Amino acid sequence: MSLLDFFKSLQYSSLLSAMRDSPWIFPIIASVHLMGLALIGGAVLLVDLRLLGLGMRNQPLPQLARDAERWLVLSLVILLPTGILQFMCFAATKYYYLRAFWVKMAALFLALVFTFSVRRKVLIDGETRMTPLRNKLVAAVSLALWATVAIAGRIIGLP
Amino acid sequence: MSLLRLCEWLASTPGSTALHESQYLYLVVLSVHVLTLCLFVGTAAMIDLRLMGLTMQRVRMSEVMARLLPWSTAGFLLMILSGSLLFYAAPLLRYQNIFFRAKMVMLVLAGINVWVFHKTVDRRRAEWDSDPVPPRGARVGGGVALVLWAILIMLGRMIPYQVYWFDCNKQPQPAILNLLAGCVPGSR
Repeated sequence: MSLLDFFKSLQYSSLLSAMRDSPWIFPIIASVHLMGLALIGGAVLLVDLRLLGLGMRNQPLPQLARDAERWLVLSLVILLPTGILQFMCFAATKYYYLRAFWVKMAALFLALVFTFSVRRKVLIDGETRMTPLRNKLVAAVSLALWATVAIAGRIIGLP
Repeated sequence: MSLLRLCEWLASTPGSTALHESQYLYLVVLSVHVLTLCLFVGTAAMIDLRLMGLTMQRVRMSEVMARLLPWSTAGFLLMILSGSLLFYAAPLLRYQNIFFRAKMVMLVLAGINVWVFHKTVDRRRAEWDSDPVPPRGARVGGGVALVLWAILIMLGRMIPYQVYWFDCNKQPQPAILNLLAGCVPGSR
């Protein structure tokens, strides 16, 4: 089975066909996805601004990171299922052919790997072994990856 | 001048037509409006969660406000600016949109919530500044704000979907819908 066949089986599954019958289900799912977007923005910015020497700059890094990670995980719990449902709605007729979708998936993969490996390790280590320059670099990479995910996601939704 | 007349006049200005018919500018403004959610609601939500005692419990409330409010305010101004442009691009369409109208009501309620918070429990912030879980009034204020922003996001996303429900230009419609949407049949 090719990838396109797989996408077709998702889009034309009985669940998705039922979903497409109502014009309201899609925007409601999209709305919840946007709420997740807002939350992940807060959770990522809280820490990355701190790494850049802005925002909550007086707070110990490991503490702030623990506070933020809970909301980051919650936002992913909101974003991933609502994102997958939106994708399934038009998987084979739209998303498969859309470069922005594949860019978003690649950036999302990199952002998740970076966030839960390099960035996480840096945050737990705290300031002791980190130089300001390396903190700023980690924040810049994190912000760049998540911004790519967000902007590519926005482009998917354009007419 | 009535609100409707104001919208009609705005719609008749060349800038409104240009923005409405632009190939990219409208979509750029729309994208800025959507993505600014991360900055504005994201940082506001962190402040609200702290007010509810759900995060950064060891950080003083004043510290959270001082560090995050400037970012949230910047995001809010960007939201108002991009949102005003989106309104300016199609004033009559927004005027006759139930979701847009409800969103504006929610925005006013959110403003009142902030005002009440500053006039009441925030006046005594010195007493609870370091409390891991702020007093009831602050928790309620934070919770109400979070719920209002969530509703606001949903109403905003719904604005283009009114056409699947009813069309002011296709009458007759139920009187209650005409009233709520302020339908002006024949306008665009």
